[in-house]
Amino acid sequence: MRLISQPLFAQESILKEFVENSNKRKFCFYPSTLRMVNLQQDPAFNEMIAPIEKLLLYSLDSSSIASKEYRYVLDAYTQEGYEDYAQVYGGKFDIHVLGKERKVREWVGVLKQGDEAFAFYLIGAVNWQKIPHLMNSIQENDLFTLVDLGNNGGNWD
Amino acid sequence: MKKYLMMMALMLGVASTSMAQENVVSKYFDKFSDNEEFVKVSVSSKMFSLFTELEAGSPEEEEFLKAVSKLKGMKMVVGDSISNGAALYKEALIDVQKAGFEELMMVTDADENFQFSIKEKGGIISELIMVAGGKKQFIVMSLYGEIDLNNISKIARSMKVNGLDKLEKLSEEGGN
Repeated sequence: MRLISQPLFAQESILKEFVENSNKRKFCFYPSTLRMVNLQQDPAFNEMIAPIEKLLLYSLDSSSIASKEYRYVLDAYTQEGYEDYAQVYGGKFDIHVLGKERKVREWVGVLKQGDEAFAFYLIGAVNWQKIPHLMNSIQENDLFTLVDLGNNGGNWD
Repeated sequence: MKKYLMMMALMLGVASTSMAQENVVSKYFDKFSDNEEFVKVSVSSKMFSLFTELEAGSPEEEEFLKAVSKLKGMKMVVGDSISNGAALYKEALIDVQKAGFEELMMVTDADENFQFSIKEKGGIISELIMVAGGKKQFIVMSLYGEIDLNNISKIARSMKVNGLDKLEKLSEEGGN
């Protein structure tokens, strides 16, 4: 597959090439814009995202979701030395997270739940220990969805 | 958006693969690999190793990190709307017994049964298996690495895996 032959240090471009014709919406976050997502100003959320240097999020279109073509992208990253960190698949889920340790850790993956799917590319880290607290707050609060954000013009590039 | 960021963070933090780890759960991973009725979850040692790099910001976080950092992986198969949950539960219990696990705790009620079993050597628990089954539900989950029973309830509380919370009874009853 054409995605496999990428020059070194061009890992981000593997995903970009794939989503060129298969994404509905693209989001590019830096620390400042990530904090804007936290409308309720939960300090734990800000702490969790603090080490993230850059996050690219692409919502995938229905045809690429149906064909599961994104799995080829993950294969391409595996060939670039990315390792499996987490997988959830079956039922309405198809979630894969790959990571690679360089000077700065890089992550790539796909999150599919039901009819929606995202591909992401993240440089930096996440403060994992904040997750239990944040999961509790998610259950307690009615958080806005990506669609809401999109309707409100939250598309950064 | 926050929901998706959180989902991603959760998967980065909680949910991979350690194909080298041959265990009871691997059988069900293979068996239901292409069966969409079952959700397969795996978390690798690479993921758990991330917890060793973190600094706790509170005693609660410190307890969680301490408990999780010694884990090497987690694998889980979940079917929550299936027709043969009870049969799979019985089958898995036999597999667990054959694999040399020692029963730690069993919880039964009208809807679901849970059994927790461990593999221990030299006072160190290297694997914990949870099998749950009901009329329409089946779960088999393996946590492996170095497991401290005193900390299991903390892991259970934090990971929010259905059924794993039953392990909190161990702390409540001092059943250690």
